[in-house]
Amino acid sequence: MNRSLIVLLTTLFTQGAWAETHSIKAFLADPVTVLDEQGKQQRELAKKDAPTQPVPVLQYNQALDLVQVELAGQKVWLDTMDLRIEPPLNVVDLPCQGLTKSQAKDSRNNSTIGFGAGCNQ
Amino acid sequence: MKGYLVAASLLASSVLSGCATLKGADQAFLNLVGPSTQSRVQGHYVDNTDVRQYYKLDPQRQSQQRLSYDGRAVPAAEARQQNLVDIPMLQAYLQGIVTRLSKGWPGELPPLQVKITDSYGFGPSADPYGNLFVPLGMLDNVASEDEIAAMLGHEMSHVLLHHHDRMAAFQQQKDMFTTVASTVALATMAADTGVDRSSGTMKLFSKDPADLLGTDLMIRAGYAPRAATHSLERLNDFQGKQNPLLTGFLTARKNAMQDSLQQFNLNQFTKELDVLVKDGLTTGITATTQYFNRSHMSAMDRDTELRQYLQREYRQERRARVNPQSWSKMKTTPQVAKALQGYKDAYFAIDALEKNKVPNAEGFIRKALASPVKDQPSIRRTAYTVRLAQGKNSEAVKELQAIKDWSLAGPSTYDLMISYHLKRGDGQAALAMIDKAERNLGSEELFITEKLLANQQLQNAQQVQTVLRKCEQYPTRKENCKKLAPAKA
Repeated sequence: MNRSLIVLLTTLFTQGAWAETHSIKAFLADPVTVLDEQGKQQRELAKKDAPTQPVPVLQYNQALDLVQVELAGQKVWLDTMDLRIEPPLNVVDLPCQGLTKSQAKDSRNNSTIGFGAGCNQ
Repeated sequence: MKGYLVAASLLASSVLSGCATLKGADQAFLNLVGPSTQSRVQGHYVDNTDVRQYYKLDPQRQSQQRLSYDGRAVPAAEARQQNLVDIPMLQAYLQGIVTRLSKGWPGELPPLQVKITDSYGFGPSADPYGNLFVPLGMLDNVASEDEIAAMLGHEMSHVLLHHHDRMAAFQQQKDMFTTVASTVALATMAADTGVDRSSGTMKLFSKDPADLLGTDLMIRAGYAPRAATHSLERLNDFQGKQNPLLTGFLTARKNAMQDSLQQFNLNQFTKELDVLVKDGLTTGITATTQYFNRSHMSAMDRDTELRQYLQREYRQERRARVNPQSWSKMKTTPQVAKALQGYKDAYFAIDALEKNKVPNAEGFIRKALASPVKDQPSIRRTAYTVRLAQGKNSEAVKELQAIKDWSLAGPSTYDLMISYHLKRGDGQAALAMIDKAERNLGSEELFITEKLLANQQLQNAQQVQTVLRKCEQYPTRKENCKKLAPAKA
């Protein structure tokens, strides 16, 4: 009983948190594929017909990388690959300070090309 | 605005073509900034004509690189800067991903070797010798093997597409700093002036060939390409927490340059460029080229481009789901988890020291010193720093002396030990450590000044003159060497 209550509360809280914090800021694909909760294609939505205002995210299925939103009064699932969601779903847990241990502050390696800029203070 | 773009392009190309001694500068420029509108990618990038030219390895080029890296001729600035991390099972796992990705490359393969570094930055990097450096911070934050494959595929692509050649070309002479600085400025201005970066000339700045090839390789290897967008989102988040090195520097000059360029006042622009270059030299050419290479295009722009590429070329594959299990299993394997935790504890120790919490640092380093990686350079180097903060200088040195495998050490760790020997007047021990550094980092230049000092301490006049002659080959070192040991007439 207690476990069920915890699961229920967690689910409600999580959904509430998603609705409060995450929203679709842009539809990147054209057309956008509308899916069911299993990720099966239901229909396609032309980018020109997609909402231009931010759309709150109701739920996130991390395993399938799908988000549930409400479009034209109907709850649907969309693939995050088609969307720009803010704040992003994939972040790092790395503070900047004290990141580099072995390098002197002014030391650099001319020869490497990297995936992205590092921590510079 | 169109005029501004034309002027900008003309200026950039005139600076480039004006440099007669720089062979291949145009190509260098194009390669650094990505394919031009004329060579816009059609089909899979790996099959493009631009890429096919790299299918066959140039034996001469390969042997030159091997000589550099196996010998001691790597310039100091190109030597590996960080301590390496030795976790064999994790190393093998990462190397396995590279092997799997390599099978998607239709051409000949150069040597590609994964090396884990002790950095808690997020982005991996690659050097021209095929070393793919994976920071602990990346491993600490990715959620799947697919994501690791995306980032390694990107780094492999830099090596496969010879991007370092272009970078080296830029660094061949100081004059070329102007080019880099101006292109940085142009790219920055383009980003801030609302230029439509998806069309026209500025397309030059908005495509990353390594992202495209890396994605091709990961798809051919059966990974889910959506992981590439996950890692770019994480990179964006990481970068958002940082202050790019040159932001302040560029902001100071940007407005003036922008005004003069928009008014076609190229004379004023050139003057501003001079200031930019002069100030830039104090920041360092590397910083600028790195800023340019790494940040001329934001992670989010790269992500958007990549998603468009996937939608165009890989409609089915883009729907594939990532598999978080394999990575989760690897990082929770006891020997890997314990080693990673050891490094994390050392990182927390440094973090505590920065907050002046020495007792906390002691607690963390004690844990790190009880881990399976306790005798690796990064851990002992951290212990050294903690002991110094505790005022225990002799114990600090003992921590460095406990390092078992010096082949993992970075220059700053060697530097501590070499300086210690020199301060004690033990030239012989200093020379032995310098020899290790030269062998393991592949660079004689790095510690040539210290080598001179050590030979002076040993009163070996013949060696002093030999080292002095060698030192003269290195522009940034020769003045110091001359001051230390004036050449005999």
